[in-house]
Amino acid sequence: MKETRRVAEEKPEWLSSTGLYPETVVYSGVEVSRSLADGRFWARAGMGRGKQKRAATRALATVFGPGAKFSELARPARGVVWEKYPYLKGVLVLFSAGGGMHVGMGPREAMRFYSYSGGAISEPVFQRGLEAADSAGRAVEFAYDRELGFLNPNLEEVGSGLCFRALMHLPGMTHTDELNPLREGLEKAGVKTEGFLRGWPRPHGCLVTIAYRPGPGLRPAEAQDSFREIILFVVEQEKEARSALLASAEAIVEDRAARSLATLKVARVLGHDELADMLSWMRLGVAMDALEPLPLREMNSLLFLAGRNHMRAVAGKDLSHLEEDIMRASFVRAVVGGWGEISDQL
Amino acid sequence: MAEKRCPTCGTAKAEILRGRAGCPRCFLAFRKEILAFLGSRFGSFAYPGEPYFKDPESRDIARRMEELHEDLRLAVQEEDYERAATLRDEAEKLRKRLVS
Repeated sequence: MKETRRVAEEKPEWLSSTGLYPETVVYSGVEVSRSLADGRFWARAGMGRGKQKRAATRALATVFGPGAKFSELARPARGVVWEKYPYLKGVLVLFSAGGGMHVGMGPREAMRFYSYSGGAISEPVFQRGLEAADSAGRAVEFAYDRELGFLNPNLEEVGSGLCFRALMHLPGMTHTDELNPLREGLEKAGVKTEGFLRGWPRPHGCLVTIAYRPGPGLRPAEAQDSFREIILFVVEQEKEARSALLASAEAIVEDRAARSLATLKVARVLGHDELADMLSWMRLGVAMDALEPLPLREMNSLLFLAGRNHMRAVAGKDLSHLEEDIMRASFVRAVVGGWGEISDQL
Repeated sequence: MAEKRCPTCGTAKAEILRGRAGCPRCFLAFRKEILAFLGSRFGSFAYPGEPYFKDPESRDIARRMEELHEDLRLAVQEEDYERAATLRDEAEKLRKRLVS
């Protein structure tokens, strides 16, 4: 229990919900892909990539100071990194600079500079990612072509090397069956969507990741503006969907929100998908004044820190599904225990 | 006939067509295929961002050149051809310095 309390106290900055539209945009940010100019691209250099590693170490030490050791973490077998930083899912985190800034190896095999924060993307967060990559590019030579821009192993990342990402909470669109039309519309604009825990068209927790890779033809600032417009568009769509949901099913929203909070306070066995769904109802309930305000930052942290791999990390061993769900329930009870009173007054 | 491969890393053409490159030299060896790939995906492939130079001096020159080109555009718009000529010459001098 002591360990679960310690874990519960970890609240990464990017889950702070301090940005714009924090209720709808859980986090957002930018990834900047860069590859070194010498030799093969990183992951293709095989085991003998000492030269590239040394070059990258120099670059990162220049950017983040001599204490910033560039070391490949052993793949997090217990998944702590991936659970705490889900936007880095499938990524080997090479260096964490704090404040939502990380350097890692993406599944596309380029070196990536990740800059994320709570809420909709803000100018400083965007600049932080670009500047970190820029500074590293002064210490080490990046693969660059005058016509094409920055060169990366994934051809879709040639040019600015930018990829914008946001995790959005869309209960209105989920419960009014509007997600598929949204996905189709966004795909036309080159935006990919994915449901949390791979759920679709009913993503767990009504959480949807949107990813926008602008390609080589846009200036970084233009790409950022486009991404902001995309987010605003989705936020507006979600607002409309919530109004429709509230008009047709206010009593159900109120019921589910209150029941979710009550259930989490007493749950003894709790799946991650179930937790995500309940937190979603609670967020919606708060947004629609059906529940008294709850700490958004804690809810965000809870969602990720109660993930499967994190539970295993806390236990220090592999867990069966049942053991994991029991541990999660205990963890959640410890966090949620003091949250809001549930009133039976109508 | 043997499949075309990158002389540096040995990446095959088929892999390039799948959107994967093995090293920076692949972009020279498979220029045509890569431009076609980017054109089909994004419509445009010319990178309009600030040019990248590792050394600070070249970066400063490149930035100054961008400013000059913007001033030149404005000068032509305002039909101030004398100033435009001066700006053009200055930009050309910088370009030569950059190339050297």
